[in-house]
Amino acid sequence: MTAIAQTIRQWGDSLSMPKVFDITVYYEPSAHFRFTRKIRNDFNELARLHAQSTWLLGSHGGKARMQTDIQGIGLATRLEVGCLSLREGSQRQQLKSAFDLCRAAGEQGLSSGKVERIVVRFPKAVMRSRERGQVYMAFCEVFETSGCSFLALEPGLLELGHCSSYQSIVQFMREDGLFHSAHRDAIEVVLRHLHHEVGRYENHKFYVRPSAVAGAIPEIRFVYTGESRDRSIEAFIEGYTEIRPEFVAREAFQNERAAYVGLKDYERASRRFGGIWVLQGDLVRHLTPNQVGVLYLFFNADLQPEEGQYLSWEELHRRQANSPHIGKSARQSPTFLDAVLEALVRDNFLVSSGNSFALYPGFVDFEHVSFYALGQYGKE
Amino acid sequence: MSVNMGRLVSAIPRLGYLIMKRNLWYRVYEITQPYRGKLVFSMSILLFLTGLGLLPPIWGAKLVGRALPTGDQALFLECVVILVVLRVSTGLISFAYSYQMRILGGRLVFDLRRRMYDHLQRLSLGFYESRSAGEIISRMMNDVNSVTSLVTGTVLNTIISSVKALALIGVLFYTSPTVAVVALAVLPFHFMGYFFFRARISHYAWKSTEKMSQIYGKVSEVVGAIKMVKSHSGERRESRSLIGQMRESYDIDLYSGNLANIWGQVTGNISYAGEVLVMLVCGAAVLDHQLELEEYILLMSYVAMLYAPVSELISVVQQILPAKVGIRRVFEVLDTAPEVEDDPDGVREVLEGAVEFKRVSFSYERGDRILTNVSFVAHPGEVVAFVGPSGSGKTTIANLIARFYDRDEGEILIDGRDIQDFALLALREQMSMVLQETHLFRGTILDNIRYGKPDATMDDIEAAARLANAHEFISSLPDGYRSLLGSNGTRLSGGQRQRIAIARALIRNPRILILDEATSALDTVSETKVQEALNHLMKDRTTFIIAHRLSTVRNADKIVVLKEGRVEQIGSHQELFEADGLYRELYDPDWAKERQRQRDERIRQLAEVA
Repeated sequence: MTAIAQTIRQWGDSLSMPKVFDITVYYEPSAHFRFTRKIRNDFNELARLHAQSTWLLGSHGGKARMQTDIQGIGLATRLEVGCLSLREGSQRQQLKSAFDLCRAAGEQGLSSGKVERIVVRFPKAVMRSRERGQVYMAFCEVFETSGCSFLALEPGLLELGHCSSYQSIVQFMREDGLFHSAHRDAIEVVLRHLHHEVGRYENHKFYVRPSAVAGAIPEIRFVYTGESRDRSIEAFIEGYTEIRPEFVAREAFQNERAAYVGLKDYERASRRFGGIWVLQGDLVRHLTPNQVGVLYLFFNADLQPEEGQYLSWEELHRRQANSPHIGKSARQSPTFLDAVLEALVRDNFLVSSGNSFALYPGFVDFEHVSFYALGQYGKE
Repeated sequence: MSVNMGRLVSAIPRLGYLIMKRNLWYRVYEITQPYRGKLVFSMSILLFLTGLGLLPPIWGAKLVGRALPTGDQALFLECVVILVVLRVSTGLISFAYSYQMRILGGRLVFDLRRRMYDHLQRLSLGFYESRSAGEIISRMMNDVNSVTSLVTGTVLNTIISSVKALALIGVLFYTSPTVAVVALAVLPFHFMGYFFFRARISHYAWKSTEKMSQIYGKVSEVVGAIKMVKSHSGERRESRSLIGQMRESYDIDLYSGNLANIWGQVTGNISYAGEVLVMLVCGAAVLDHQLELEEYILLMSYVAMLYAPVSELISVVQQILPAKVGIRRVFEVLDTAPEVEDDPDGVREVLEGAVEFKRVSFSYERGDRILTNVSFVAHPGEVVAFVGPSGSGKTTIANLIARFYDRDEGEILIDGRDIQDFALLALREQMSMVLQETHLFRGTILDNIRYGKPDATMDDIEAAARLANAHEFISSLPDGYRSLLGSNGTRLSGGQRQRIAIARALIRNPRILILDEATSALDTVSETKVQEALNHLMKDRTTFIIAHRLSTVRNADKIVVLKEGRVEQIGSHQELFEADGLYRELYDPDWAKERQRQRDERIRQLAEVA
């Protein structure tokens, strides 16, 4: 019966049904923004130009609306627009028009600031890669960007943003990739110095170039790039941090861009505390420290993932009791294990069969990333 | 990787949220469990009322279809009397039902608010730091009401309307299956209307609730900071801002009301179309003499009654959608697990006051690391001071000692035991904190001092006030200890407020004392008096002092110098002063400036050479 139900569900998912995409755009807050009648009227006029058929369906069906949210002493505008696509072929155009409206509202000064976040809602969004593809293309066309990722907030709710990819999740768990916590102190020292000396280095950008060393922790070289070499920069940074950065010419830097990592990114990637972001195809999910701890139960003593091997709940509970990756007070808790396993299965990190669990097929391809909301990306 | 217990439970609220989403109605049912008897009784009354409601059409049809055409006076009188009796009985029973509902509603509100308030008291500081007071109040007052109105009104009405509709369908099928089928032909259109409007009304209900919550938040923030608003001439600006929000709230409510209205109209028209259909079919049957006039009237009455519960169901759904938003918001609070998990069976010993940090690291959720590998020891009775530039983690250490948060890594030991082994209440009962921002409750000075120890006698209070150098000024007030304080002690000076706070801390006779910038906001005269009071307070207890003004920590047994979350130096004042490190820089700014200048000069020379 389960198989039949699953087949019917898959068939239903693959059907090209009319869909409503509800888009919400959050703009940066501003303490000086006033949502005046003029702005309201101008926005209504703009919305009329970008009017889409919705037949009042979905959450934001009907006319596009602009609202404000109090954020501290500031006011942030929120734009809600829904569009109904009857045919699969028209989805992209419909979405493009909605994104155009969001962009135009920002550019014409009808919003409190720049676009900070964009959230898209449509049924079973995490399962429907085809529709996500349409959103992706429409977004890239309108915002002239090379790509975006989708952060899964709920099964039907996605946030658009950008990812910095670091390493595979397995490398993160084994800490044998290019990002190692041993370098965090040095990175923090340089970062702090750069923050203190805003202005002194404004024409130059700072990176690290990590390189693997067989059997040992990776090495990193601090580099800076810009128009030309500035020896005083090297001397200043060495004087204050005891780390001497090397100059890399802009062309050389561009040629090997992928080999360099921003300092903030390296700092984030090498953290061994807090949760992590994981990229599964085009979907990003957040793993809490507890979830990471439970994933370690599916790794053997050499920290090799036991892919395809189903472990019974009892076995997992036994491993949990001895795992150094799980907090002492949670090691005996079956409720903890149940709660975390359920979340991991739901988010496609594990698969379950009866009372047994295994790593999701393709787990090793998942990437450890940082997710940045649209407004945060440039800033970082 | 070590995971602390506080963070450990962070998966559980998420799961709770999922369970909540799946079983929202089950959870509402759970809330009503203590009142199951009353609910069943109320429902029985309502069912009885529904049954009574089915009788008038029978006598009405007899009256119009048989008594009047035949001129049967006895039957006419019988019908009128029965209709009056039915009306009076229905009125009386409805009154009893409403009374029952009011009791049930009141108790449910009381229960839910109590549960929520108890839970709010247990939640960690992180919860309060991420929400405004107004938002929390809005959830506790408004959203709880929506749960109650849902249970006492909406849910029962839904059940009754459904039962009524089913009963009428049964009666119609029994009386005339053809008419029943015709009458039901319009039902699919009702379902279409439901799917058409549901998501939108639900979304607007959410927006309306959120907007009200924001308005509450704004009002409470502005009222709390009214002095600041006035001193910056912000009154007009704040008024404008709130008016804007209220206008948006009005727009949202208007739009959602219009949507509900349109839905109502659509429903009414669909029902009316159904009635017309039945009228046509039955009318044709009467004209063909296949149906008696009495039967016609009876069937038409039942068909009209059939659509009434359908319309009721639609209006009930219109009430359910906003109520669901309220329920979710209530459960969201109830499902939030405290970040700091208390072990009720934990250790409840009297403390000696030894505190040890062993390579403790801490970061707020998804944030940067605030403390890294912090280690120090405080022996019982010692005075340990934390100094360092802003943002170096001093207050975070104090928060970890008081267990407002749990560390990520390392160990915090109190008298050699892990801090998490202690029962939270027992631990905090042996600690006192005096903060820079003293909060005094509206009430008498007596009650404010007694807040630290509710069973303290008048003698205890006076003794604490004397030690805190507060007795003198309290006695000089017209009502002495019974003088009423305004909100946050507005009628007292900063130094006086601080001394009351010290008396409040003293009366607890704590083993561990935390002074977080306790004198930094005071003038020299007040500071001297407060410092004297603090010297009494610190005697024979482990004391942690956080201070910017280093003159206040010179006498500390141990000074821990922090920089960017790490321990830079530990030692006595003399040792640290002679060590030419960060402490000396902080203590002697001129020396630090000169040192920095020399360093900058050296580096500049190096840069020039380069």
